[in-house]
Amino acid sequence: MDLFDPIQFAIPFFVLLIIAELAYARATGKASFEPRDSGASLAMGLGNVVAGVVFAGVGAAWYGFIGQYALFDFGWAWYVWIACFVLDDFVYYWSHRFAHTIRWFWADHVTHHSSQHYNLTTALRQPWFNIFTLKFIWFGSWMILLGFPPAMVAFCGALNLIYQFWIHTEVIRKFPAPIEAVMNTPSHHRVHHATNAVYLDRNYAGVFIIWDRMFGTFQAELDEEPCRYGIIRNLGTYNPLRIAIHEWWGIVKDVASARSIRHALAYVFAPPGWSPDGSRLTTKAIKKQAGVEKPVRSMEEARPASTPAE
Amino acid sequence: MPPPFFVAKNRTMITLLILAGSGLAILALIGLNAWLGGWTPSRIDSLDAALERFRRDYLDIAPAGSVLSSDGKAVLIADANSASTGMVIAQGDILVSRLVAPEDVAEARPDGASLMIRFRDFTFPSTRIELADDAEAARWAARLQGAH
Repeated sequence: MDLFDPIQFAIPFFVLLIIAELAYARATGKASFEPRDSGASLAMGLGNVVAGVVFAGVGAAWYGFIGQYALFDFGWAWYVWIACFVLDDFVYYWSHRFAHTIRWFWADHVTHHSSQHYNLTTALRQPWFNIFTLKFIWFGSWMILLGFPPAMVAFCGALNLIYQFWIHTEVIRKFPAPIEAVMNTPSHHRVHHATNAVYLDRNYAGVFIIWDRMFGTFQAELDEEPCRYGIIRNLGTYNPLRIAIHEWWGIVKDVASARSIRHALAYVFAPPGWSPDGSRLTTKAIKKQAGVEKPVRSMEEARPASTPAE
Repeated sequence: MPPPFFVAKNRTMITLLILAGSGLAILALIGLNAWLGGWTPSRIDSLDAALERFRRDYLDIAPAGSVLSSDGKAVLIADANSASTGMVIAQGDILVSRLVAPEDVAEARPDGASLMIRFRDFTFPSTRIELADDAEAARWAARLQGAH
């Protein structure tokens, strides 16, 4: 089956929502935009779409190839779609988690975190050189090898990304508890984008926050700890090409200066911030220094579910 | 046979149109953002505020001296434990901080009471920092180049 690309059809809605958020920000001050930052994010989004078009054949060829070796043929029934969407979100969780904990993948993903603003344009600040990570092999193959149709997997992956667009906002504070318990929401994703030590490397979810709750990476947004966005070493440039390549270049420089093969490999595959002498800080070291190695419970979570009658 | 809804016709043409439309939409959104305004150029009000901000990004800095630029756009912080210098620079409506070692600095030279700095870091633009007098500019230029 040949499916359309839902992301291309979602673009007009992205634009309309950004206009709405811009107007709301101007009227209420509850969101923050700066033209050069917005421009960089939007240009990176366009570049990501172009890169997707240019490299689409590579992924399609790979999926076509491994599709021959699928264990089962699940077909196109409605319940297969649901299973595909949920399982794809599970794979996304792990892909995203590795994107933060292995520098090779982080070099690509850091682009998305490189703005100190958090608004709908930030959602579109996407990498250009995703192809270098070969994530479509490491993470994209499992479901196809299991028996889901490649077009269905690609479609569900696109729906997952579309879902994640609207959660990049400071306009919506929190949803009712049952929604916050199950779904990834603006509040949960603000935490993910924050550089406060307590928030670093938390909330990797795409659509369902349950994966973070299951695997111990969930952190609620704390009233007493307002989110500060960006990366540990924030960028002073709005040039999209520089934003896209800066961490890749950092890897090249570090590997060139490495004194052993082991160090060279660690510069590529160890967590971001690793250095042989510990002069730079990984997330783990930052959390340890700040005394927040374990997730911190919010007041709401700490409160008993019901107040006993007096 | 798949339903017509799912059939992608003239895919290349549609993709090109979407890309062109997206490019125009981006220009329009940047223009709208600039026209609406709503952001305030960042400014550093005090040395304490800058130090607090810097410590958020670099937890273990031990300030041995610092200076706020005369226009409130930059702060320089001498690290007591190394030859590195901390910087907080106002840019757009945000602040960007850096801890720079002498080897990260391509050029640091005084120009009267101004300090001109060029970095070996393409994510951080060349910066002009307005200081109180010529001697202060010369002193920080020397430190940034490792002569402290």
